[in-house]
Amino acid sequence: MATNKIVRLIAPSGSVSSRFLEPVSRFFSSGTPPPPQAQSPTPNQDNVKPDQNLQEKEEEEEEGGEEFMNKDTGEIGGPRGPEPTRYGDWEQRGRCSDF
Amino acid sequence: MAAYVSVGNIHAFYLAGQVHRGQSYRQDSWSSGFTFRTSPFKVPFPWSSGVPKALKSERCGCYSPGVSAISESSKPCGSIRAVSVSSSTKYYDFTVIGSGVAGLRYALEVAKQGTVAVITKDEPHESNTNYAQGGVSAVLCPLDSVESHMQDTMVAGAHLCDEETVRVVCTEGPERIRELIAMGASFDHGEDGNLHLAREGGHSHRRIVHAADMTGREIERALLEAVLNDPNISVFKHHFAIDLLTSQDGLSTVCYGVDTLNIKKNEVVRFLSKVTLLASGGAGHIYPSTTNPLVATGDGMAMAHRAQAVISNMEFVQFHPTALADEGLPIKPQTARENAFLITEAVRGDGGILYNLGMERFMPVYDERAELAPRDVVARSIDDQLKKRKEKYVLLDISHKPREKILAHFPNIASECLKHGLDITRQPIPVVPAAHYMCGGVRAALQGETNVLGLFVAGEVACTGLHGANRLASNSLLEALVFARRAVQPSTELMKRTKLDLSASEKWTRPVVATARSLGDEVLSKIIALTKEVRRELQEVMWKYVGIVRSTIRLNTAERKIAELEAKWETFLFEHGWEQTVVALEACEMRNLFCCAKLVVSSALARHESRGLHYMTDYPFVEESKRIPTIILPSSPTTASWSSRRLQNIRSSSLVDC
Repeated sequence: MATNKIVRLIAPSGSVSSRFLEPVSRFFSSGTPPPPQAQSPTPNQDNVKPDQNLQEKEEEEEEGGEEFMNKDTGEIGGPRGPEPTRYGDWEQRGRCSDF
Repeated sequence: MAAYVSVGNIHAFYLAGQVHRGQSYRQDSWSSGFTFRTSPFKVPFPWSSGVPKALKSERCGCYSPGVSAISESSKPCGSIRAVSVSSSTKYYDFTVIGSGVAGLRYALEVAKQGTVAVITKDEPHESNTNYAQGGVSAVLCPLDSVESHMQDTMVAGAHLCDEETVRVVCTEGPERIRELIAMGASFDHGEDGNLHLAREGGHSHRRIVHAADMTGREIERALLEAVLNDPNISVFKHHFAIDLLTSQDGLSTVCYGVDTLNIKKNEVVRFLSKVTLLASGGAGHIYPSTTNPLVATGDGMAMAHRAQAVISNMEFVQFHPTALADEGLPIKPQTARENAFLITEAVRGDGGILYNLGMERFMPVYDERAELAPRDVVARSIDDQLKKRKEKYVLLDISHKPREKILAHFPNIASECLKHGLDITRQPIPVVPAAHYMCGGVRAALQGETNVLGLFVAGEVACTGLHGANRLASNSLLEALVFARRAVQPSTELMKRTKLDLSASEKWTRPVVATARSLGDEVLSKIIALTKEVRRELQEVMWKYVGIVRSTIRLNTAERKIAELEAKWETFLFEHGWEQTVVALEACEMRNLFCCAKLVVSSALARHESRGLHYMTDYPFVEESKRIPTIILPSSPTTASWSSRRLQNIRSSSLVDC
C-alpha cells in the first residue's frame, strides 16, 4: 500500500511533471549533442544521436539516473547538464526551483 | 504578556531591544497549571470501559503532591488511545496541522510517545515542501564551519536574525540530515561516497545536500512512507483546519485542539489534543503570481492570529524576479497556472537582457551590474518599471544567443513556452516577479513554543528568527527539520503532564457546514462566485500596493482597499444567510487570505526603514536603530471582522449535560 502511495507521489501531475518526464522536453535535450560532462560511462549511451530521442528517453527511465556520474564534480545520480547552482539559484533545465 | 489591544484594528509595533527568547512569560505560564477540568468520566461514553488505566490516574509530575512521579520506564502518563466519541470528535495526544517536512518530521518523533493525528487539507504530499526542489543546507564538509553558515545566514537576513536561533539551527542541521538519511531519504553522493554538496547563492562553502533536483519531494516521500507505516499516526487528508480551540486560563491562552472541515464528506470534525503543532506552511496566494501550490493560503498564520498568538515579521515576503508571465504568452494557458514557473537566474547569467514593453533596456538605470545585479535589486527594478508604466510584465530576451545553446541549457523553458506559442530562440520571454516564501509568521521560541500554551509551530508558518529580513537559500527545509525536532521534547513533557478533559468536547460551539439546503442553491453558488472574484481582487491589491517596492501612501491605500473589500465580501455573505459559525472551504480560505494580507500590510507600515526584502521608497535606507523584529499582537475580539475572529465561541454554560 505504501508503494502505491509513493508511485502516486512521483506520478506526473500538472506542471511539475514537465520538469522530469515530459516527452517534449526530452526532444529538445537530445536535439543537441549533450555537454561533455553529461556523458555517462555506461555502454547504453555510446551511440546517442539527435534523432534517437526516444531511445535516450528509455535509457533514462531504465537507469533511473542512478548510475550517472558527473565527470566534473564526481556526483553520482545528480542532474545532467551544467551545474544547477552555477548562477546562485537552483536551476534545472532552465526552471528555477529555489534561490 | 499577550496584551489585548483596545482598538479593534491590528496594531504592529516593535519589540524594543533584545528579542525575547523562551524564558519569561512562557515559563511563568507553564507553572500556572492547566485547567483541563478533571471530571472523573461521569459522561457515559460507549468506549469508557476501554479507557486505559493511565487516563484515570491522578496527574503525574509536578502538579499533584500526593502522587509519586511516574518513572521513565513506565507507560507515559496520560497517553490515550486515539478514540472517537463519534465521527465528529476525535481525541489524540498530539495533533499536527500540515503534512510538509515540519509536520511529518515532528509526527514521527512524537508518535513514540503517544497518539498522533496529522491533518492536511489536500493529499498528504501536497505541500510547499514537495515543490522545494533545491536542497537543504547544512555544515557537512570538514572544511566548512557552523560559524561560516551562521555568518552567511545573518548577512542574507540583513542582520535581523536572532543570533541564538541561527546558532542552534546551523549546529543541529547536520544531525537532522543524517537522521533523514537513516529514515530512507536518498541524497546524491560523490564518487568518494560522501554526500555531494552544492554551493548555492549566498553560501561561502559547498553545503547544499540534494537529491538530484527534487530534494523536497524526496524528503517528503521518505517521511510520508514512514508516517503511513507508523501505527500511532493517523493521517486525515482533505481535512481543512478552520480554527484552533482555545480558552483563557488567567492571562494565558491555552490551545486544546482544532476544528476541521472534512472536505470530501462536507462535515466538521473536531480534534481535541493535549498538544498541537502548527506546520501549515506559507501564504503565497495572497499574491496573484506565486510559486506556492494552491494549498498555501496562510491558514496557519491566520488561525494562530485569531487564537491570540503573536505574529512577527510578516513584511518580509520573498519574491523571485522572473517568473513566466502567462499574460504575455501568445496562447494563454486554458486554466490558470497553479504555481509559477520560475525562469532561472542562469538565463540572465548567460546573457539574457531585460526589456520593458517599450523595448527599453532598463536595468542599467538601476544598477551598473545591469542584469547581473543581485536578485533583489532585479526584482525591485522590474517591480518599479511595472508600477511606473502600469504594465503587467517585462521581457527577458535570450534570442540573440545561439539557438543550440539556448535549447541545451534551458530545455524546460523552451518547451513550456513552445506549448504556448512562444519560441524563446526568436522572441523574448514575458516575465513577472512571483511570491515565493514568507520569512515571517507565528512567533516561535527556541523550541517552537508560542505564547499560546499547547501550541507549537515549525516550518514556514513560524517566525523563528532564523531568516531575519531575507531567507538564505536552502535554509527553509533546514529550519523546518530543526524546529520540528526541537519541539518534540517540550511537547512530550507537556503531553505527559496534561490530562485531557474528554467531556470538554462541547465547550466550544461547533462550526456548521454551509449547504445548499441551509442557504439555497443559488445563494451558495453566488457566494462561491463572489469569493473567487474577491480573491482575485485581493491579490491584485496586494501586488499593486504591497509588492516589492513599497511606500507609505501605497500601503495606506492597500489597507483601505482591503478593508473595503473585506467589508463588501462579509456583508454579502451575512446578508444572504451566512452566520458566524458557518463554514465552507472557499470562504474559510478567503478569510485566512484577508487575515494574512492585513498582517503583511500592518507589518510593512510599521517598519520605517528598508531592510532585506522590505523596501520603502520613503525610507530607502537601513536604520540601525530599527534593527528589531516587527510584532503583531492579537486584536480585540469585539470589533474584529469575521476573518480576525475565531469562529467558535465558548458556551456560557461550561457544564455538559450527561
